[in-house]
Amino acid sequence: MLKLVKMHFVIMIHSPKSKALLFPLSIFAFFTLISAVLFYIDMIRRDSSIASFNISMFFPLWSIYIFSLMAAANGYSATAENDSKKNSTNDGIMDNILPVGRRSYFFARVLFTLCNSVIIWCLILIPFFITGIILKSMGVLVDTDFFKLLFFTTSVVVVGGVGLSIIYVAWKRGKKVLEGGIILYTILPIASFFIARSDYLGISANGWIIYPAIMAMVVLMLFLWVLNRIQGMDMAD
Amino acid sequence: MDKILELENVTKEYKNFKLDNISFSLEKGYIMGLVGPNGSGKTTTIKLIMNLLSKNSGEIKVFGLDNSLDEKAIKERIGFVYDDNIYPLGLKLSKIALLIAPFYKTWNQELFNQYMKKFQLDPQSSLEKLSKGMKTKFAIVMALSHKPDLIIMDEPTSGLDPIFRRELLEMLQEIIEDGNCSVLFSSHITSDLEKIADYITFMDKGRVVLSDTYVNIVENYRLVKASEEIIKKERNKFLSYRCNSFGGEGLCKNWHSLQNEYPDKIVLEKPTIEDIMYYISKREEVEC
Repeated sequence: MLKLVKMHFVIMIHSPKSKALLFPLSIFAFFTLISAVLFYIDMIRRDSSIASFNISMFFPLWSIYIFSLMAAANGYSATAENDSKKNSTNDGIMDNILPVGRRSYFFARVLFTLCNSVIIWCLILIPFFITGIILKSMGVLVDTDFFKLLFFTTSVVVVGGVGLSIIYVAWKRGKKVLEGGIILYTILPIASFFIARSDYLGISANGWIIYPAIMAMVVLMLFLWVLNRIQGMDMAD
Repeated sequence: MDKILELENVTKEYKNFKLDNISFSLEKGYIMGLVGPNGSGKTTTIKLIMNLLSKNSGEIKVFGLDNSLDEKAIKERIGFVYDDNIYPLGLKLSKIALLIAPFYKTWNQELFNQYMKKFQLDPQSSLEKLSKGMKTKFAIVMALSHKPDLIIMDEPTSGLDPIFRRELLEMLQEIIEDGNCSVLFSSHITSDLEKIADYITFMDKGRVVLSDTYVNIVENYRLVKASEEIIKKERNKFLSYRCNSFGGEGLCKNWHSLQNEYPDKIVLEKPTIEDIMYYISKREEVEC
């Protein structure tokens, strides 16, 4: 299974589509995050309550970044394995002719998407947590609600990403994943942010950890259910 | 004899197409050609054997094992060449081999290098820079480098030049010489099959029309050339036929009776696979 995950990563890194997307995206992500952090630092000194509110303007930018990164991650499977557009069913044939059990294949796909999601998660959270630590060490009052909100939002995106990979492997291999990924990874951060902002789910209390946990459990149940029906799937259809 | 591949009453249904009760088998050490017009179900059959598609009903056994329950063990022993490139375009050939090799216990790097040299493929070149024919060559190298017991090829010769096509056919014959390896080979180029196939399976409209040894097929059928009058009179004896202003011709299985009845009025010729394929696929649209 790990051999398969490694293979997917190597293919992703070398895929012309991924390459074309990842480099400009990395620059885009870097500047977006840095400007968001600087903005946050600047605002929190003046008014911590409006700092987290104003930072919401960066969410659409993060969303674009997240969906583009996922599109790049999954893009190789939609294009790199196809020699021509004539036969769109080629996707995944290389994986499926290898002596790998279906369950291993399935776990490999889930692990692959999970790793990608965790990378995104870290990319978003690390600059803010580093900023938070620096600010705290400087004696600045840090708005913890904002970090809870950020954790909630990114968790929903990561868990949603794993859920997407399960649905993707189980039903529509290759065909709709790019569109599905774009929609899901755009909607999830925006939606989760607004849910968090409205505090409808009690995010500022314990909801910031309870709801991602519930979501993870649902994904786990979906995962186990799919595992039962995995034997009879069309892998190259 | 050991049956290396067995399909029994296999059915796969799509919205607009049905693979209907497919049954045929291949013995160890032989080459089987899978022929049929476009859309006859050859690629679907191959995908079902490889468990890339799930069947609706029936049984597929490879090396005596169920192809979905023992998928891993079976695929370890199969070399597969698809009719299109399935490898990632952005990678160098050596890198692709490096990624694929660990999946096979029997991968032989020396053999891989030998085939690369034989086929004049540079391991350092990128797959996307290769022509279609060269990509097919690489797919063949990948399929052969783990010493498979069964080679399944879907239209492997379609993008190849005549010289390499011939070399490939000779190589396949060499590979099966030891009697341990079998080949299932789908192709539109029927002359290739005539050169190497021991068995021929004809498919048409999702059904197996004929599956027998090449020798039996060629011996059992005759292309009968006669006047339009005779052809029309004996129409029931033909699988199908066609007529024009100079007379007619048709494919016939019980040709001995025609030979006895019209010894001087008909000409009998051994049909090619293409002739048989043409007449069998035209059964329902008799021309006259």
